[in-house]
Amino acid sequence: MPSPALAPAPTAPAADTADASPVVLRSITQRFGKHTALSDVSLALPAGRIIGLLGRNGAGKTTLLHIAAGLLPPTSGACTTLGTPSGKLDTPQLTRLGLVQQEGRYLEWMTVRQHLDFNASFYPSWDRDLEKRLLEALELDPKRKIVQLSPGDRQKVGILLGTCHRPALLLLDEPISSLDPIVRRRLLDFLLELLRDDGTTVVISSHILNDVEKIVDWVVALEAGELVENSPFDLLQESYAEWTLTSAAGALPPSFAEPFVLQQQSNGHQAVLRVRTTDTEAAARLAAAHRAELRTRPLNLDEMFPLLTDQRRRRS
Amino acid sequence: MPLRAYLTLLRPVRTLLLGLINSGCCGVLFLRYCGNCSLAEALYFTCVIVGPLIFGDLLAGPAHEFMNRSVFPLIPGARRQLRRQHLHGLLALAALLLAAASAVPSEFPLAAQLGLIAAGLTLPLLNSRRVGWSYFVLLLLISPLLTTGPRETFVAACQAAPWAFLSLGLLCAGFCIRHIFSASFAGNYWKMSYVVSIQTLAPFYDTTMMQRRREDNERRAIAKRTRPEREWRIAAVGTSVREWSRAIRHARFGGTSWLWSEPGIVAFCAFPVIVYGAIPLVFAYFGRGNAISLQEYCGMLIAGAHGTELASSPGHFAFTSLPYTSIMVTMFASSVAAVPTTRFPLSRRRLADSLFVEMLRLGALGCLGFALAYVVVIVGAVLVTRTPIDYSLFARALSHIRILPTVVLLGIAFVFSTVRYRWMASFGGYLLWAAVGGALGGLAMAITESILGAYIWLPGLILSAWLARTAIRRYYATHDLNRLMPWVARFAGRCA
Repeated sequence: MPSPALAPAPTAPAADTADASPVVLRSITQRFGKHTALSDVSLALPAGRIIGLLGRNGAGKTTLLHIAAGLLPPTSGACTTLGTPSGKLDTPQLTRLGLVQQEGRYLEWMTVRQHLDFNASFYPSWDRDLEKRLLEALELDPKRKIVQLSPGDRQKVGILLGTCHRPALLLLDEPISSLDPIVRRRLLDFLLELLRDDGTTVVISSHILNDVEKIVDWVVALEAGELVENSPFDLLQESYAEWTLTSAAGALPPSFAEPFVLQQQSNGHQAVLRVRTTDTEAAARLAAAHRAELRTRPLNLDEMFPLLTDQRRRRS
Repeated sequence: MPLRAYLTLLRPVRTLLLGLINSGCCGVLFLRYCGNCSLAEALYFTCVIVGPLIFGDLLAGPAHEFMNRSVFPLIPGARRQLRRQHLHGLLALAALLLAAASAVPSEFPLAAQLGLIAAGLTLPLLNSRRVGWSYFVLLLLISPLLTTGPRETFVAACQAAPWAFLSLGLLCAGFCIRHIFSASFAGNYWKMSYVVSIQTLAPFYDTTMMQRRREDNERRAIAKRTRPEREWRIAAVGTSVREWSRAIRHARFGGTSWLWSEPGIVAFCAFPVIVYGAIPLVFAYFGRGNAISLQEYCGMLIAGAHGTELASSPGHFAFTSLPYTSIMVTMFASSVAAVPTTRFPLSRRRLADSLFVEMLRLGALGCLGFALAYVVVIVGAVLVTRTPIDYSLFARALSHIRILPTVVLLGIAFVFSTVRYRWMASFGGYLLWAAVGGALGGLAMAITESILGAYIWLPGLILSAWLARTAIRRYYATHDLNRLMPWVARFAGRCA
């Protein structure tokens, strides 16, 4: 029987939610030779949300985004993007999809301006005003050749090419890792604006969790190719917490056997526990059992991340 | 650097295998069958001249590769230790080559042999940019020296002044080693374009390192370019495949001047005809004991233009370049696929169709080059021999020009159908591709020069176009759009 502290393993999406979802994956497995990048992943991304796609290096985030964008046919399983099988995406769907890749391939000989104009001719919905605002916000000189740009500036080009046509679904693979904090902040504000104005579904994978946390409202986590979390961020914030127990009456036990305790540090009189539980009375019961004072603090995404990704090991 | 670390870099088994295969093909077989050398001569020249160049290049590759990595200047003593190990490798190879040469009776004194081996083993060190075809060009330049008239002069010089050859060889070796392993060169080499040794790439050429090398070299070439690129003047690309193929053309060639991309392709595809006309001329003109004049050679070309049998003389040889031209045209046409396909919001099927339309256009340009080359060769021969122009001179040329598009389309179908098999991106794959291209071209020539050719030409062309389009569609239906097709990753190079 699974521990109540562990989220149940995410299951295949129900038919009604899948219909409205911009990306639906059913039993997706992706292998590259002997290496399995994704293993039986099923999920339906909620529409009109900013979804944080989290996972350690090699967890399968980029592979998942590439499958959703139709760039990579999965080894097995089915993926539907914007209502169409991802292998059959055509101009009507692709003009509503934006992808910002971690290592994008560009037409190096073009200037930024030339590349934007070239790409703009493919998208009827290309917004020149948005392009101008983003160029200013990202501080990118349009006259420079792509080949001369630094890695951070190349990333900015990718952001422009992926967003100026106002996509309904925007997939971003590590878009902010090479950006300075000021530009990073502006990009995150822009993503919020996209959601507010156009109802765009944004999927963003990033390791800079402190920034991403400010905008996401849904979390999908992968670990070693398996889906370990697929929940609203509010729910995670309500269930993950850090409890500090301070005992006045005597020593605290060296370890706590409660199943909702995920991580613990105890020095006898004080114990710091990281927990996951939706039981609002659990804290009071624990404090009473050990005759201790308890302070509780919510965890941020950075602190939740190792606990999220560790769920696969604990589940097995 | 301990010996074990050096051997890890060198991969001695791979080095020896590649060296033996290349020496066998480019040395013994080439000298024996193209250069009319006896077996003993071919073996000897391979041990003393061709083999050292090949093995020297194989030895230099890993050293270049290591020195080209940014970590190299940070390793204390790496330069001196690598130089020492490289010298040990050179000495070992020199001893082996000398021992092999001594097993074959020859007229060369030992001192001259040593000098030639020393120079041959170390000259490839100067190929610091690892230009793959450089030692093939060197071999092509040296081959007439070993196989034609000047050979006697060369042998006499070696016999007369063996110590001069030894001194020059050792001086050359000293210069090459000193230059490449100097502190100033090694200190800057890691900033130069990305290099990879053949041992790293073999046996497959579709590696991500090859792709990385191509991208890195492409970026450097683009950064150095000063000529203006072409402007994209279309505000909105419509829905037709033709319009999308224009966008693909711009992505592929927009950064290149029109002169290089369009007439350049025409000229490049004319190249095999010119070369196949010129190589027999060089061997015939400078041939030992049977030299012919330019007038006589042009007379053979004119006789060959009329003829119906396949290559049987230098004159016919020039007009049997169709198999080789078809390979070049196929490669150019396929290189269209070197665009970043993720940039186009097209379904996989329409992407495939747009690429196919652009490949047809490039293929047509290549065929035009082939046709022009034939015309130039025939008209040139007519002018030299002062023969009256007779339209029957163009009969054979026209029959080959007519069949080339069919052969190229079949070649494209073959390339896209077999690219999923990894071994096709290997040396064996190249050989197979050349063999298939040659067989198709030869078969096509035999058919078109018969009465049957007139009837099957059009149906054959339509069928080959259908096969090519189907193969491209099938490939792009399942291909990872993030990865470049292996053939074009190697070939597209600086064409973008």
